Amino acid sequence: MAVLTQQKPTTVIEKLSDEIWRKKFLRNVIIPWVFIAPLLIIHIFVVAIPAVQGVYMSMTDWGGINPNVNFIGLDNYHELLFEDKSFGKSLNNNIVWMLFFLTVPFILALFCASMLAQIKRGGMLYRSILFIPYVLASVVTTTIWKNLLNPKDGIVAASARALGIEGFEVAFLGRTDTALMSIAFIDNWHFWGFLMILFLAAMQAIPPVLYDAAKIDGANRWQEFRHVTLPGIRPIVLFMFMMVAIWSFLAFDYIWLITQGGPGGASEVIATQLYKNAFQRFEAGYAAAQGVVISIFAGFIIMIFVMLRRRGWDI
Amino acid sequence: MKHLKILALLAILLFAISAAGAQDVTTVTLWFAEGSTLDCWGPIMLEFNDIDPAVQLEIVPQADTWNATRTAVVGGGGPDIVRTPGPSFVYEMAQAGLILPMDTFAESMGWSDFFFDWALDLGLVDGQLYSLSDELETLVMYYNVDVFEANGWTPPETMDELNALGEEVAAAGYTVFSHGNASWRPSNEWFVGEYMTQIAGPHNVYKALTGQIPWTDESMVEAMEVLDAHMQAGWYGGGIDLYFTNEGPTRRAMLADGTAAMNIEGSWAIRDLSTYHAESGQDWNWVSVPSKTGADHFTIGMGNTSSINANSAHPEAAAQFLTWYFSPETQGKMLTNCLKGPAPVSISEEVMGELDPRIAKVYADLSDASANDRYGYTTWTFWPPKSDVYIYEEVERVWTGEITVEEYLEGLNELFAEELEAGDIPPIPLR
Amino acid sequence: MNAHVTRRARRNRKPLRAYLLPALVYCLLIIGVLIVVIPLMWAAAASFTPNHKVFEYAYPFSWRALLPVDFTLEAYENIFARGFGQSITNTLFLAFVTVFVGGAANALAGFAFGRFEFRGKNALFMVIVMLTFLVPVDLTAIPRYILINNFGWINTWQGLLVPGLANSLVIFLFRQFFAEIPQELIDAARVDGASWLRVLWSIVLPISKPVLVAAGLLMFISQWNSFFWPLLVAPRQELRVVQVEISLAVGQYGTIWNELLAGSMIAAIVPILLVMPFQRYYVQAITGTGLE
Repeated sequence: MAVLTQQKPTTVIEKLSDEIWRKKFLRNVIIPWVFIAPLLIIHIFVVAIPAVQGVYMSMTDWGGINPNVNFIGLDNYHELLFEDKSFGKSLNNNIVWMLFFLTVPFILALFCASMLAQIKRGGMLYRSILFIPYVLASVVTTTIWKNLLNPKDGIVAASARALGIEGFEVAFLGRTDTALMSIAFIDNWHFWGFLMILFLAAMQAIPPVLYDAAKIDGANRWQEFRHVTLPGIRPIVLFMFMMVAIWSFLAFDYIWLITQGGPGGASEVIATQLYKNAFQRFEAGYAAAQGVVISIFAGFIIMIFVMLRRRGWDI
Repeated sequence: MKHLKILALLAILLFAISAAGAQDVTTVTLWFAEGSTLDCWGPIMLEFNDIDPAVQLEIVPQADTWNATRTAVVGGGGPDIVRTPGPSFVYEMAQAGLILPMDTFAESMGWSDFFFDWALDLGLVDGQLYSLSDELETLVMYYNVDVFEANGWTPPETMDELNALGEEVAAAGYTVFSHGNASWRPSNEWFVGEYMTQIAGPHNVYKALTGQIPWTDESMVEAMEVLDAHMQAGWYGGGIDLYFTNEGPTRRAMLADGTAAMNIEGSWAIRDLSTYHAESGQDWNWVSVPSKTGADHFTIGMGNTSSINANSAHPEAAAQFLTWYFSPETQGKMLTNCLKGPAPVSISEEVMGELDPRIAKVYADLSDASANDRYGYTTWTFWPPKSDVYIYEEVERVWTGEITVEEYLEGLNELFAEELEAGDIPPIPLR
Repeated sequence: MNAHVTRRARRNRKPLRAYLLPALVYCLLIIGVLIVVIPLMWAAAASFTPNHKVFEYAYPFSWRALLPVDFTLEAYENIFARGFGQSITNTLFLAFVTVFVGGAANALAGFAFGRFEFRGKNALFMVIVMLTFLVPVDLTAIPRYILINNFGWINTWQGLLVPGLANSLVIFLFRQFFAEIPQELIDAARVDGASWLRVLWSIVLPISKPVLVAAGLLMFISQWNSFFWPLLVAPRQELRVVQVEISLAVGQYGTIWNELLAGSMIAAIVPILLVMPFQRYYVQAITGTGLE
């Protein structure tokens, strides 16, 4: 190493050019593929082949059971994008869902994380409690909340009545105007703790000197949050923005377990529609086309983030 | 000749012994959801294993049973006995060659001796027998006897009487029908099918199912208008939003504790009624669902079907199990011990006599109705799959005021016509 | 706000603001914590209650619903008698093998994507990540099942394990982390004649704790929570995993609530025990990298 640094780089390259070329070949062709091979093999078998078959199926009239199918080109896509009115409605619900999840859990998590960051004792207990909902099985979470939201005897209605607050003895999950948002509330109950844990850990990684400096400059709480905390946790916030946006298009289990898209399609999203098409209506080919469209949305979101980064955003 | 017979017998015996000696046990597998049902059915089903040590049944508890079965069978695996939720699933599987035609077994094992004729026909796909129907069901109207007596009401027989009584019940502060679809969204279809049968009449439904009249027929519009009016009046569950949120147990409790007066539901509900009402101490009984004409119409439905997996290594043994399982003796035992909806087989009077008379009467009246042209059709057994999903999904839009009854039926008519043309219709018994 | 308070506020503005704001914040926090905790308390209490009494105090709601007033261990005894212990061992075994084998495969690939230049690198990476987002898991399950069935892997550990090994989020994390390791560190070792595997093992790995822990957690939790695939591929009782075992309490005609809740409680504790001590690595792995 010491020898190398004393020489001019050009002479090294001249001397070793032949060897470097061979090394280059090794480095640029052989070794990368050797490193990727184990994963690639697994991936091809358990992800790629089934996925490609899924794309192929989206261009057939596959019913979901009978493997003998007819190739129908892009007919499914044509029907989906230009004829199926319910698809637009579901997509709209997905977008509402996304707007909810890009705001409510983020605000909650940021607020609680910045509060908890200041607690010195017992923080671990709080964190663990707030994190439990995230690891509970969705069947359990949805069952609990369906009971709590019972308009007559559920705890929400009962405590509102006890406190004299009106307007809570309502079947939130049974009304077309409140069903989707109520499910979003329940899903968020389970989800936001995860965000909070991430933000909290990120906040604690911010060097305390930065806060001290802000204090010396006379910054108040809000300014401190705005100019020290937020920039410090920005990468994880933006990363989670992207993930949540993608997940919003895949939203399925909470909606399925609570309303199955009802009442009257009020909480229908693409994934619930897809499930019905695939497994109840025997239109698996059509459902596969819906799946491909969702993937394209997901890809689109990733592209937006990649482009923002290329433009110099610090994501 | 006699010698020959003895020789043959000996040969069989020898073969049997050598088979047993070689531990050549054939295992028939069956997937079943674990829970209270299996707790009761399981031990009875396993009695099969006492008959022939060489053919043994293995019940594999499997959550999410139908999804798991479908994927496994399509993927070339799965249990020997394939249970599906209904004839339209059988149709798809048979078309794909995933299950076996069972005509030879039916003949050699004498299935037509104990199955009702129309019941075996339900399992036909392109003229071959692919499935056996299980869990015969029909819809009736249950009512809380204590509530009725306290108010001096008598159970209605006609739709007009029901309309009048319903208003009285609601005015007295009761919920008319204890209902809610939060635990099982497709329960919507029970009422669509029932109102069509009782108001438009089973013959019109038959005509519509066979393409002779459209679903937009006046009689169908009337039926759906009446159902919508009942929904809008809050008769179901106490209000539309409550109907969408009431869970199964709530629905049962409402009838049992006298919050609600009546309940239109399938014969499967009997299992729960006996426990819930024993707890509340209030009595229940049932009448046939009121019809426009006053005639007793009973719709026929099937809860399950059984077929043999095409991948099965020993279909013969699977057929042996099916023969035993569907025999009137086994079915009778499961009916009396577990209140299981019986397969459509002729169960002896004696067995029926052991039952609660209210329960025995459901099956007696149903079989009487089917013999006397008073039977109707349940949507999940006789409608093609897309139309069936449409029926219970889209009707919610009618009830929430998004579309009209006419628009709903037009949509159904269009979809049904497509499926009829494609030939995806389950076999409809001729009348 | 009543007159009394406003008068006081005018007289002595600063102390009021100093008290009011934190009070408000704490009120909000307490309400928030209650919204989280009450449902959990009910679930926990119900898991220690006989099944027929699970909803007794929930309708109409009373405080008794939050405490196991009819305390019994029945639900826990029942699920363990049915083989819950076995399913925990199975899932732990599966999850750890996934973390080590899958972690190695993903790390190698992530290193290649992050450190090497080769033809088609970005395209390949994009395809791998995108394909995994190709959703209908239930739809791709059929072709995948056919494949696994052809290998004869139904009802085997391999069948359960292999599909969980490739995880695009994990490759993604590894790639980002490795891409930001200073070039000098690696060059130094290379010039000393170390092979690439050696570089990876003795230079890169020791400084990659955050990403290793984060990737491990991700893989562990996804294997711990997996339900549909194990359900399909390994119906045999000896191979049953936790989520499948829990769901058995949901029957066709009724649910055994206390057993469902008891199983879920235990299933929730394991990931919490793992996540809590390691959470900061998880964030470091993501924040340290960002996204390209």
